[in-house]
Amino acid sequence: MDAREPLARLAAAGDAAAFGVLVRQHQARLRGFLLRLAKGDAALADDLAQETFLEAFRKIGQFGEGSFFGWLCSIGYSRFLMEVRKRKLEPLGEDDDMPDDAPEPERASLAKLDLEKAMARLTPAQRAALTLCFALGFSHEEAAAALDIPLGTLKSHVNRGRDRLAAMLAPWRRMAVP
Amino acid sequence: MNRIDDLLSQPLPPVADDGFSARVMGRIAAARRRRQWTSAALMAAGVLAAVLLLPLPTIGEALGSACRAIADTTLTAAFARIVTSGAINFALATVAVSLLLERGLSRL
Repeated sequence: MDAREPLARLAAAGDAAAFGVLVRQHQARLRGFLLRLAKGDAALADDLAQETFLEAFRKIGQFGEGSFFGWLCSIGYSRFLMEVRKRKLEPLGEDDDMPDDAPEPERASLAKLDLEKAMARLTPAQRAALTLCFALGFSHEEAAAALDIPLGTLKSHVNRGRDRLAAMLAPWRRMAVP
Repeated sequence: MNRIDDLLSQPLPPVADDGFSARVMGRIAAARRRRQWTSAALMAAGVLAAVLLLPLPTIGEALGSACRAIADTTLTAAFARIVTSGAINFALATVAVSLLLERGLSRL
């Protein structure tokens, strides 16, 4: 277990108060991550975050080494995928399955297309990979472990996601910054 | 691509706690209470079933005779009797089943 996570050790020994501190420490970033995965659906993100913490508490004895937050993201991401499959919220496959609806410049301007809206057009795996690697500062190895995918697949998600974002945001940037 | 990287590297919008942590800990406390109650109920049911269904007088006699035999024999022979005693094995099996039940419940 990571020496930086003494609270996780205490929680694993049955200390609920220590787990409470972990919840308060990590809830904002976990909910932010899940909020982006859920394309801004705050109710869904909060439900997922609650279930994530409950599962983490049940399985705290299985937390081995590495970052506790990375472990939380791993649980949260798998719960998100289960929810997407159950409720058929969006396709989980590659770009080919996603609607190719890069906005026209006019439409982009009217809709005030921003990063969150562009992110919502990526696949869940691309959204998760980009969020972990950029906004949350995970290394590629840490992100691959959190998403339970091979390193090469993670890098592919990152590169394809960035390419798609660049294509989608280019018209918006031209309009926003003439 | 650097502009995209800069955009992506911006921190996620802050999410206020707004009672979220308290709700999570409330659910965890409720789940623990539920598990303790379930565990206690299962134990009580097990004891009740044992009292109603098991031939306790026979087991008691077996235990008594095992104890007498242990008192009357050497240490090696006593160990052999303990190992081969049906009553002792039954007691060990009961403890093992209880522990397994407890472990199973803790994973719920």
